[in-house]
Amino acid sequence: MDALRCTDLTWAFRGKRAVDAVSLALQPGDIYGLVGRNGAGKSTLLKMIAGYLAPTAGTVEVFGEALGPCQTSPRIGCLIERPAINPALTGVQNVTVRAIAQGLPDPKEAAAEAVAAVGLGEASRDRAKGYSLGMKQRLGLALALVGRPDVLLLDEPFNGLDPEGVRLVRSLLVRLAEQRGTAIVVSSHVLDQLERMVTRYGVIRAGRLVAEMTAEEVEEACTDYLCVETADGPRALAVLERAFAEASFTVMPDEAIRVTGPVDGDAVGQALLAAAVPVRGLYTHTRDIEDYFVELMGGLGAVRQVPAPTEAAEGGENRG
Amino acid sequence: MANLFRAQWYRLFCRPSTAILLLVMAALAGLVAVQFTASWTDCHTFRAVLGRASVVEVCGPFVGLFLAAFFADDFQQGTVRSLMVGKGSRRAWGSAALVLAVLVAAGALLMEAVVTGVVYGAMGGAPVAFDGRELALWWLTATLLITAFTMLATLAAILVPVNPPAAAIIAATLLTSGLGFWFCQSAALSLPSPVGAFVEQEVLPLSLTQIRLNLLNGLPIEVWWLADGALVTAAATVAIMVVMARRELR
Repeated sequence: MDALRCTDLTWAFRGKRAVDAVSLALQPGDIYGLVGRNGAGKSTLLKMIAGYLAPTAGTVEVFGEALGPCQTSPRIGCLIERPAINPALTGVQNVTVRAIAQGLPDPKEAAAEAVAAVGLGEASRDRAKGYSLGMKQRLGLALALVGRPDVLLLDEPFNGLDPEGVRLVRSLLVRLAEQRGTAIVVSSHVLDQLERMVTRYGVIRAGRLVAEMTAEEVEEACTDYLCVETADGPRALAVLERAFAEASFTVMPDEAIRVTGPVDGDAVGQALLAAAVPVRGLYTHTRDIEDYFVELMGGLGAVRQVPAPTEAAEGGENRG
Repeated sequence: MANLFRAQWYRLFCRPSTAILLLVMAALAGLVAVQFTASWTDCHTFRAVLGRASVVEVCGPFVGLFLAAFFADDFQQGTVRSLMVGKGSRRAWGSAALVLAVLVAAGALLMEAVVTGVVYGAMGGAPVAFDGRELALWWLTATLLITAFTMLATLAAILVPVNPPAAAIIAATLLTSGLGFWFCQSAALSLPSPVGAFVEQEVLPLSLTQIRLNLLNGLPIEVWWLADGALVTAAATVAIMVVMARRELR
């Protein structure tokens, strides 16, 4: 059974669809990275799932239980947009309020466990009005975690956290997913952190979920490859296939050849030179996760394009 | 609803401002009694002493403003989200607010009455009669009035999309101080005569502020005062629940 299932979730405001028929499903233990530009509709989507905002259309189910519009669920823990903190209370009191509202048998114990999990330590006994941004973020996470929810909705959970905090939160989320089977949706622009924990990705663009892929698919798409630009593609391919049997080759429409696998740029150059194949360009193309998602999010103008042969070694392209 | 009420109760009494408010109210009641006990020679009942001490006039604005701002703070800080834990939470928020308002209003009135009575006795005030039934009715009516004002101000706070605490404080000030009543009275005077006269003579006397003034003036408590207060409280609570059912929680 899906831990979380959204079907055709839509939110329209003044005739404009901020979220447009988004459907997604999470299994227990999934960590789903939601990426998209600012204003793409990520937070609005999370708010509808959480029951903070009534959808114009669509449904949300948590472990098979359909939630009505604006219906919250005790099985969902959230940190959306900003930590919901009462500055007049201490950190642990803030969490205790939620634990009491949840009807937990020992709210103070549950609150203490949640603040300890996010590393708030002794600071949890101080009033929240004196908290730094990072401490507020940790407290917001504790509020989301108290009561051990089965589904977590986290919007920019790494905001304001120091490196130690980032690592702690990341490992905590991975542990929750692996050990408790918590299904987690993380919306974040910190792609290198997502890369280290996410099992599946969803890309949201102008309110629409335009792509979904597994972490393995993203990793594969971001693999470095050697690019051989030549005027005689078929002959170059024949030479390379003979010389590098373990590598794989893709001929592009412009006759450029992409080489992936255990090959060295120098060796490729020498093989082609020895066979007298004219080579216009030979370089390693590096595409990181950021490039990949910027492209998917619709920001092609910002993508580091494969440069012309004369524009060597620019923006992550390493000529071989 | 019980869990949500417990959570709100916990939140209320964890705030240092709650203790400060209660202390200020108790001190104010004591000071008024110390200052004026000697001049309250014509009070024949304890209810009259409470009227002279302006207990309802002090409790109303203090409790009304404080609680309305307390509930509005949930929306300002976004902490209302922490209280939403399942089906029915949104409606339960309204009913929990009602129970909290009733208990705090009743408790604050009782505290004020006790402090006034103790100081009045200690200062050698003239002997007065204690009519238990009359005092209970006074307590109930005053509690309902303060609760109604609080719930109306809370409704104003959740209706406005920005700065709920400001909306709550303005609404509570207009309601508990009587400014809103006097504004309506002035407006009624400027209406064409049959309509203006109808509003002034038939509508405004039914208002909660008029009941408050009746209570202050020591008029015998009538059953319809209670019904009026209960009706306004119930209407405001239902309106809060209706608004809450679909309101975006920011």
